[in-house]
Amino acid sequence: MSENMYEIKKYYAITLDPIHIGTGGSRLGRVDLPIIREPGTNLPKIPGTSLSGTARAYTAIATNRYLWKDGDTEYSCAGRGGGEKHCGKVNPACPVCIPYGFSKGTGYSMQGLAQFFDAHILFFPVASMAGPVWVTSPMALEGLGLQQEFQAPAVGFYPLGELLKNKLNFGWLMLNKGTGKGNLNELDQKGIPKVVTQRAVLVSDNLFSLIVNSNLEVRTSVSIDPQTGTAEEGALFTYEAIPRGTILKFEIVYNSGKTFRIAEKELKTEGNGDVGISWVKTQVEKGLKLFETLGIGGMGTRGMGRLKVLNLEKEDC
Amino acid sequence: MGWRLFKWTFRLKSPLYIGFHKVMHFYRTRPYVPGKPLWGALTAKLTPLLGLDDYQKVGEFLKKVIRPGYLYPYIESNEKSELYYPKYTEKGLMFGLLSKYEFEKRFISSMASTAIEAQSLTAEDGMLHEVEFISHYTIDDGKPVFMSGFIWVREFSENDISLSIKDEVIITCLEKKVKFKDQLANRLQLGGERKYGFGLVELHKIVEIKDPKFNELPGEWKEENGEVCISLKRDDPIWAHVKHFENLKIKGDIELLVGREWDPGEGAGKKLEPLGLCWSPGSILLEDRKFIVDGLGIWREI
Repeated sequence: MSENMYEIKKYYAITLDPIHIGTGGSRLGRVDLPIIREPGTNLPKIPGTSLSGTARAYTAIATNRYLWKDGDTEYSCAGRGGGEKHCGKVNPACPVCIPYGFSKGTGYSMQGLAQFFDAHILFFPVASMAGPVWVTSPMALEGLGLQQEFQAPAVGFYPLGELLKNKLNFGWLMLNKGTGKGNLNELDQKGIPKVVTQRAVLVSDNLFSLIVNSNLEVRTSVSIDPQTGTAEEGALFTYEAIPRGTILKFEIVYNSGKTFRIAEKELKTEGNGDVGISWVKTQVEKGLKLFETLGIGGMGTRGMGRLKVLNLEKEDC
Repeated sequence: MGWRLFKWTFRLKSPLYIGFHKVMHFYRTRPYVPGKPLWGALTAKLTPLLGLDDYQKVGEFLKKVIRPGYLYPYIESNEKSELYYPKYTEKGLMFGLLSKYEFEKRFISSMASTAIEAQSLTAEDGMLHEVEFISHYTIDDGKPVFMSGFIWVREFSENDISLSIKDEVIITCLEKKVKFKDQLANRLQLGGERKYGFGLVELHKIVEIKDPKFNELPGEWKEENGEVCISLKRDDPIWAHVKHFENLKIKGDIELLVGREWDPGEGAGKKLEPLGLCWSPGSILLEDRKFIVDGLGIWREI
């Protein structure tokens, strides 16, 4: 029964540009605009809120619900929809409001049938003397459904791909090859580029956080004073980002709408079909598809943010 | 024999936010999971599993067949596993052996975010907010965080739904059978911000406890007149909310518990349901006392 009521889909994505999801504050001794990190592991991540909000806006674009009119009433199914902006239509179901939820100032609201989990770093690119390598750790690989345990040397690296060197530098850190366990053969079908898995190396969880945080992209920008064409006084700032080529993984849980009753009405699609898992997934993936064109996170006008989701159900959705 | 006691432990797979109170735009979390969010999560998952669309009916049924205890952060270790339940002491509020400050430094973090205004793609006015949560890895040493507690379950049948306990706990509705451990409890989402992935827990262990004592928590229990009764000694901390009543000798903290309920006219969470004044978990008894546990895990006067 549970198979029909919800489905957990694991997505893999590659950053096509650096991605900046800011914390909205600054940290002493670090960059002015740091990115959000996981407490406990200190690893950068993309929170579920950022994925959900962006995917919602893009599904609205893809289904012509960003700003639309029904009779004389104007709706915008993107965004938070405070007041009466979300249409909240249940029959036929709005392809934005039903998968992502809606809140109306009066009357009914709904949580939404798609639940977004944080995106975590799976393979992190680092420049080395042997060219780029993608670093991962047992904790990063946990929960992928690979029927094997990964073990990394406490100090050193274990090649998961075909690297033959005995020593590798990970930025400023030089490590020796050590003994470990695991392989990535079962990951090949998920759309992750072959070059990544061929050049993947496993390090311990402790080292992984250190290597990632030492190799984030940090940019410096300054405002230009239009009258003098020189840097504006006090306007220099730095910001960090997850670099291009990082492989991320995240999960979305798709719930069936069959047991929901909104305002005592059943959810139905166009043509009176069931609002099942497959319908919800299709609407969300229309939004995920646009991540690779329109991007995610901040600094979108400065060459940041594009993220290609690698295992969408239908490439042309 | 009606009620049977189980100890269950979940591994936190994502941050957990249990709504407490707001300070300006800062949403505080409780450091434990009360019975009501547990009951809510079980209702939300069990209803579609049974092939029903009547959440109220299943919720009412669950109130009759379970008595949820609270879940507390728990760290599993080969040397010494520890349950972090609250207790007021002369040094202030403690969680296990940690002071409140040390506990929060180890388990509690927060995340700030804002809504984007769809028409301008800028931050929407007045929407900046910060949500506090229990981290799924300890912040100081990155150990996995578990949530552990107790639950009472009993065999019961009403109309077309029944719960039976033989080798395992099974809930049946017409032709549908749901295994409590493997299908219902193995993966739950608790608390708030669930749409953004918060509150995901995976069942790590569930074992039946035959002993009337709890071991990790003070007190012992027995069934009286069909109710779960918990006895505590003087100086023991209560480990759930206790509904305020006149002649209870206790010292600690008191709070007004208010829940959001389903409103038949307005929908989910639109009805405010005051549960009244309650003594907070961790408050210390000044006398030996016995309480009964209700369907939402709140302790009441016998």
